[in-house]
Amino acid sequence: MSQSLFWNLLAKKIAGEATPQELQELENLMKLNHDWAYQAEHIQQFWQYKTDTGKQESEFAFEQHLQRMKEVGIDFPQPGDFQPDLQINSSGKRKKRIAYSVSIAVGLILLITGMVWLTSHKKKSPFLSEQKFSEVSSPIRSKTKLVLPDSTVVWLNAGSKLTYSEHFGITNRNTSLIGEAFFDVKKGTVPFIIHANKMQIKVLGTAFNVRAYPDEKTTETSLIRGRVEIRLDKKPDRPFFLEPNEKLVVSNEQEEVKTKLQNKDPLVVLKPLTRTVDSTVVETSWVHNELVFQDENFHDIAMKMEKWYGVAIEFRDEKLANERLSGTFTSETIDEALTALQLSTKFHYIIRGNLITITQ
Amino acid sequence: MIATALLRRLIDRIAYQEDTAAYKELFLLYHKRLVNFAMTITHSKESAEEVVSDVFMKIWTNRQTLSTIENFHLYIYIVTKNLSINQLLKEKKKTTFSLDEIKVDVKNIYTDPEQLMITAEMQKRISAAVLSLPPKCQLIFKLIREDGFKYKEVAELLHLSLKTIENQMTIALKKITESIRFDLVRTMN
Repeated sequence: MSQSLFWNLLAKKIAGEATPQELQELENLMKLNHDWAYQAEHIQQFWQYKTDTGKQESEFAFEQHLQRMKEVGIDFPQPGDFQPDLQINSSGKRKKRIAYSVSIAVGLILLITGMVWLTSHKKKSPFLSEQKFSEVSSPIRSKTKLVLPDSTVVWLNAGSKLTYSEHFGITNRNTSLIGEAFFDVKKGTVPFIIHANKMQIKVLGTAFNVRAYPDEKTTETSLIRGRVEIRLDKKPDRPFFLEPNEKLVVSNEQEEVKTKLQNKDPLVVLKPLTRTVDSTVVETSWVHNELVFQDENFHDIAMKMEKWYGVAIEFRDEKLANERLSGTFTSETIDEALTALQLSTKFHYIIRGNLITITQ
Repeated sequence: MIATALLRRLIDRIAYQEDTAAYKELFLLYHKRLVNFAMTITHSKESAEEVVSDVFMKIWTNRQTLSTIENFHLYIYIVTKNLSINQLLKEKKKTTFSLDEIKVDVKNIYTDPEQLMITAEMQKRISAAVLSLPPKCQLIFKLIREDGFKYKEVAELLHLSLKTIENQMTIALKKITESIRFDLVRTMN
């Protein structure tokens, strides 16, 4: 009797049908019989590994299905029949533009006029069946606010890209970031993970800024509130924890620093957040449409201005590039901004289209 | 298993926006598993493909009412089952269908070959164990494990009592676990 009861309870447990009482009963039975506990462990393992429902064959079946619908005379708009405001590109085998859909983009607000491209593409992993990803990009010179399916709010800075899986918010909250974004993460039991520039940032519910432009020397994580855990891909067993008002600055040239044994740029630095005299947090100022810098060198400021204004800036003078400056810009044009900087340090500039050259 | 939230989103897009991309995604999500399910009744892949295509035609033509369906996952299987039975009766020129006529394709039941946790030898044993089960029992096991149904839903889908589902699952699990165990014991010796 107790044996068939054991199998009955175990079946309910792995099928997710067992009540708390039944689970307790099963526990008790397994304590009495170690062999049962052993078998239970194995069948549970087996239960998890399910058949891969490959989609290749289904793609073909869908084409045939559309053909049949046509023959029967069912009206089905073909891709390309209407002009989307947002575009979804399917990359991989088929590069067909498919119809515009609002719900993928629910909560997606364009703060500044500009187009947002949503791309979904497939990635093949040996352990996962095909997964779809949504990709949101903020074009140069504009900023995008979006609300992810788990209600997390993200401001995506100019020229940045955030990718998250189709099943985001249900089984995982994994994202990947290129560029800069401010996250206000909705509290949840599933950790919110950001992959950026060879590191992983893990949080449960907090507000913080990540600046991870591949062309910059460092990747910065600035914490406003809550707690974050950061692990470098190279040292995954050594996590860093941030407290509010702290930032972690990680050198992007990890390899280079190591081989050259240079000490001038340490690999990882923990710093307080930078505040201006009126206590604006410099690291997150872009969210409020402000370009703020506090005692930074002209070269780094120019990099920020490049993204902010969508221009390229080159220095003809090394000494100028190392000048330290402070300032705040909101609605100034690039011309006005440069003129304002000329008040702090003496230089000349020439604007030719998108290229700005700075000289003595 | 298909995430409920994802499914809800797709259905709303189809129902309210006539979103053809969402329709395609829904098709891709369900096509293979519905063909496998239909095949247990029709015993022919071609007929099963046709049935699933018919199911999806219904979904498109009735798209306005889709969002009123409470349990879409169960609904689409019920429609598939009904159309499969119609197809079978038409092909075999019969008037009745019994669950004892189902045939489960065992190659669709076990594990992902890429998952190295389970050896080829073990897979053989598992499929032998599954094959030794009565077809009805195989189907119930598959619906719960792979199609993510609750006992109650399988009972509704197959017109069986909850007690029957429970008993069949108990039998299936015992048989399969014993087959794995046997293999483990062999490997250890």
